[in-house]
Amino acid sequence: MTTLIAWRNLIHDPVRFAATLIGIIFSVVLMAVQAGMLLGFAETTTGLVRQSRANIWLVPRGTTNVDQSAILPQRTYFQALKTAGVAEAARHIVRFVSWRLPRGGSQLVIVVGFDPVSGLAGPWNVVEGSVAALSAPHMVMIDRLYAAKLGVRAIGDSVEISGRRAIVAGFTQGARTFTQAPYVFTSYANALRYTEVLDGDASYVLVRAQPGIALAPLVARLQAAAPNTDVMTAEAFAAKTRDYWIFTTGAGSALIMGASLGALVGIVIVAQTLYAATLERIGEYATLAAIGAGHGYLSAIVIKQALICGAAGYGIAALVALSIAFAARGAPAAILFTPSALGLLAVAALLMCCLSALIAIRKLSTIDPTSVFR
Amino acid sequence: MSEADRSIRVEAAELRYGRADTGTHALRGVSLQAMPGEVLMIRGPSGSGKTTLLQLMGALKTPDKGMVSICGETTGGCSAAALRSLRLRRIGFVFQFFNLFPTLSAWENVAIPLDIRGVPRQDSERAARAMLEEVGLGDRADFKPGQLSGGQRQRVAVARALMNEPDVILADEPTAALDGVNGAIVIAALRRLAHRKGRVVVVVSHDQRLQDQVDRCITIEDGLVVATPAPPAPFSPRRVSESIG
Repeated sequence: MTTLIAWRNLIHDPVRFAATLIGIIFSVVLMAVQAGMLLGFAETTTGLVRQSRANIWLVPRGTTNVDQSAILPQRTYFQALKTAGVAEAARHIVRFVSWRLPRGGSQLVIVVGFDPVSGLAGPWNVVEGSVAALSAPHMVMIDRLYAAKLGVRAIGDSVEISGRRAIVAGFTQGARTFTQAPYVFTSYANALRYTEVLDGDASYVLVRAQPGIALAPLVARLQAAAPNTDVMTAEAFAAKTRDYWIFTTGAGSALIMGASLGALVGIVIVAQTLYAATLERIGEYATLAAIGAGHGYLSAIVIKQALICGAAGYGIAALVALSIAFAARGAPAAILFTPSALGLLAVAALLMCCLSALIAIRKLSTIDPTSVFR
Repeated sequence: MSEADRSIRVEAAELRYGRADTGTHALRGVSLQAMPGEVLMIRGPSGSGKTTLLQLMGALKTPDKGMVSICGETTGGCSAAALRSLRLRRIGFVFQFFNLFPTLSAWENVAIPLDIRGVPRQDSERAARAMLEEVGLGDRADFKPGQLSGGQRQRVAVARALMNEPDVILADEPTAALDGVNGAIVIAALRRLAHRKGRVVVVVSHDQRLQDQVDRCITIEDGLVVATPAPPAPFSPRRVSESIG
């Protein structure tokens, strides 16, 4: 019956109900988009590491993220190769360089030089051209998202990177970068031409373990073999990179603040609506109290009103947020929703509405059942 | 359970609003007993304390001094939860302005006390519809209060008051919002409850017309009972048959 009373109370005043829903939808969409951007950022920042197919990364001491690092000397590669349990090792270059735009000016890009033989940390989601083509001199691959930004129209376009000629040999789809300096994939050998890295040196040495080898002991062995590097699993390096970009730069904090602001707006809107609705029906609550209803019974009505508002508002808001994410799928900043994120958002929306009900519930705790006889 | 155990007893009850030293005395030592099978009317001018007395008899308040016993349960010193439980089990309320939920149908309004007690919805609906049949509103069970006349609304309120089969019915100005015909119907229903089912029925009212339709009438002024006839003989089948006859 409390559910019925809650529902009827809400629909009895459809204008107020609609206003409440709009408030919740606004709030949840705001939270969802901020959270989706946070997830998108996390995905984007770690793409290069997660897609590498390498198990372990040897990185220069003190490296905070995959996009910025010092240089490892050639011996690191050999130190890794001769370590027991290593199936394959590859040199990898990641460096910021300048891309000359055809219309004039330049654009900062990140050259990603990978080992075409091992294929570790090469381009992913290739939609046009082939990875094998990158082994040829001058050949590079960029993402479709950044083609217009870099002045590229089609495969075969000739461009200039660090003052040297390059030819676009293919495109990826969705290989975003957090820094907005697009990834330019090419072979290790080609990358040497576009960067200041000396032949044999590398930004990273990537390792693929032999099948069945436990990673933790192998990390320890590699660390012992190459003591002047930081050795970590791909998962650990991805997490390190994500935490750096999300938290150290303040980008994540801004998004979390935005989501919190959305929650606050929702709480205020729902709270004032529920409180006003409770005040309006205080006589009915007093009647229930006089009959013998306890505080739990009365509170259940308000909580259920809040939950109905929350569930309805969330349902609509989730559709709106998914539509926004779909519309933004081609944008440089990804908005990402996972089923677990949507689930968490639902919990957050319902929790927000329950919190909003507290003021109204507090009012009910002071209700005087004798008021029915005045 | 004896007759006395099913009555309401008020002994030397005092109640003051505000501070103990400077507050207003609402009741100044009221004593009375309402017996099962009788309709007791409490009358008095505004501010005389009759509503406060009804609140004491309805376990909505407890006296500062003196004693109130409802069906053998003394209210003094009871927790709020215990008073709530007492009201739910023993007392049915009928209010001046019906106090129905406008968004609920008649049967849903009537089923509320059972819902508070945790009775499953199907059972409470069946009982509520049966109760509405008893008060002659079986064909209005699905109507909202706004679709009912004043008299019908008050009968719905009476049906709600009866749902938990209370020993005591407390009615606050039950005819004040009704015309003469509907008022008479409601009072007749309350009389039947007292006389046929042996309930304690207490009516607080200004309505002079009711005096001839109740079994006993007490007058309260300035927080004191100023006129009280003796309680009637205990409830018995013979009295019931006299009343019905």
